Amino acid sequence: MDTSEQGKLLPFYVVIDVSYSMSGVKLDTANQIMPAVLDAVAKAPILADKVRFSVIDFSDDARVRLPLCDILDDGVQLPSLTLRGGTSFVSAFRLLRTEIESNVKQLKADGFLVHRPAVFFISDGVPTDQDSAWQSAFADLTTFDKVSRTGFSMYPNFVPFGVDDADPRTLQQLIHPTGGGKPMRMFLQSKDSDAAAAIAGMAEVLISSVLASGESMTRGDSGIILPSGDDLPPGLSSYTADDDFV
Amino acid sequence: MAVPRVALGTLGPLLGSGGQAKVYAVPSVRLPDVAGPLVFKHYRPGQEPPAGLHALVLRRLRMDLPTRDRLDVRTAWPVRTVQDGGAVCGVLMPLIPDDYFHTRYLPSGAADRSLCEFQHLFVDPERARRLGMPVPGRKARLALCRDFAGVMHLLHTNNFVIGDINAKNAVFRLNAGPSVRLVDCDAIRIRGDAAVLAQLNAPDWDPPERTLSQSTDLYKFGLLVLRTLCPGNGASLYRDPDHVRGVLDGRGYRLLADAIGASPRRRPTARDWGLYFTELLGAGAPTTRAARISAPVVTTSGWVRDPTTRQWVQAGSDGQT
Ligand SMILES: Nc1ncnc2c1ncn2[C@@H]1O[C@H](COP(=O)(O)OP(=O)(O)OP(=O)(O)O)[C@@H](O)[C@H]1O
Repeated sequence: MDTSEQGKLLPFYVVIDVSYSMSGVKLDTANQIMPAVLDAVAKAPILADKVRFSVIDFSDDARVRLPLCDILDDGVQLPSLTLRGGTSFVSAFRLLRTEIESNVKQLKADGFLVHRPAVFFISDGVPTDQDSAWQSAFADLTTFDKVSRTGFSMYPNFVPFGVDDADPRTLQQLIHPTGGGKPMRMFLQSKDSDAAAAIAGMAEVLISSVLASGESMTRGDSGIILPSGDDLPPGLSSYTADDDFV
Repeated sequence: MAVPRVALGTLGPLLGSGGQAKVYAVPSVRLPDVAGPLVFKHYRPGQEPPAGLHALVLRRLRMDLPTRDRLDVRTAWPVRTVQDGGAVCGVLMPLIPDDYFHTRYLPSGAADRSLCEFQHLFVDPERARRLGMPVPGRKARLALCRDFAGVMHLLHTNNFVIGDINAKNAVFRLNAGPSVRLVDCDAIRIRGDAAVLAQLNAPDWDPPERTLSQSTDLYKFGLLVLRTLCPGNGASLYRDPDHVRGVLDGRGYRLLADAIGASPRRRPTARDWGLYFTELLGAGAPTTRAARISAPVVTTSGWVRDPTTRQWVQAGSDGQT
């Protein structure tokens, strides 16, 4: 029995590409993600004792648009996303690392236990950075060696979502972890679907993960649970790190 | 006592859906032993609870009429199993009356009608009010606890183990006298029978003992009382009886400390709790009136998006709509 009253929080980071290619209905749909999450938590409000949310957008630079928070707090203002510039994965990964590090420290200092954070990363294009640059920024964010304790101990579970021109092979490299007890997955816009439907589907995957975390989060569990294949919303297909693309 | 799926005819509207099932109105179906309208809970493939449902149905049919009627108004009991091709695919249950549902606007402005689950009582009252949920005062909360103790007494004296008492499996209404219904009764077990499906603990409701029994019901009820009477951020995780000091008197504190203590034998029974709450509320006190006075049910229209700034604003505040 767990008799402590200390909550164990699961931080969700929603990271959204706001490069110019995301214009129109894609951006509009992306702007509906957090309101949908907020509604879902308002319907199951004790979830607020378990989850925290942050929104980061990125283009040539990355910005924290919603600092990690209890989404039902009175003061919360959901950001509205606007477009600017290119698609720098590097900027997103670097900002994520500094945010996660300081947020987790803060939550712990406030007396909470913290599950490994979850990142939902959505992009519709290829990175404008050099491959080696984003790969090394991603390694900085996700690599940790348990034995030598080098790297980033608070590394997140990373779940990439791709729509339109996103390159499956690039996004596939962002699935983390790829093995172990709970491998993460990647979600792509289905071939017969459109980007807006896929982004709406991403909101559903996020919400179902949030709800599942309230149902089954127990000690020792790493937190995030992704919907299984049968429960995928329309518009999305799910892939593991080993799937091939032909 | 199984009803063939085809006998239900055309289903009425979908009333709701959850992880386990979809629930439909069946306006054309009536049963001689059930007073009101019925619903059909259709399990999702692979989610059907095993054979034990029959036993719950039969046990109800063998009750004397007054007991059965009380069961029907205090729980969403499975009154018949429904079979499709020889296998159980769902159950018929009494329709939960309208006043256990609450209609409000969600933060996005979308209209929502959903069951008043106990979880809403654990939320900080200021927050619950902002989210458009009913916010009962102390007296109404005590009355809800008393009524829950009454439901539990009914089930325990009829040899049932509720098993999975949690933030969603009980719903409440505040008009017509604060009262409680147990929903999702398919996991209830008959004492002395083996568990038909492993009885589970919801997260944050696990008792000290591994095996679920009427004693663990009493433990979980203690948690429910604690969290209902001491709402606030983090309350859904509370385990410490000290929160209730200042809300209950010394006797209530001791009852609660025993209820959520490690020793199953010391836990107050449903009847102990019922007597205590009745005394606290004043014998025969008109709890509806008390609730109305201490707890105006406030509803806000939630949040709307400002068309120019695209920020979320509270509807109706500062003259904004
Ligand atoms: N007896 C009833 N009368 C009216 N509506 C009901 C009844 N039972 C269930 N519902 C509606 O159907 C919805 C789903 O029902 P329920 O929660 O029992 O399904 P479930 O699949 O077991 O849920 P969960 O996802 O919690 O396992 C409820 O939220 C409610 O709106």
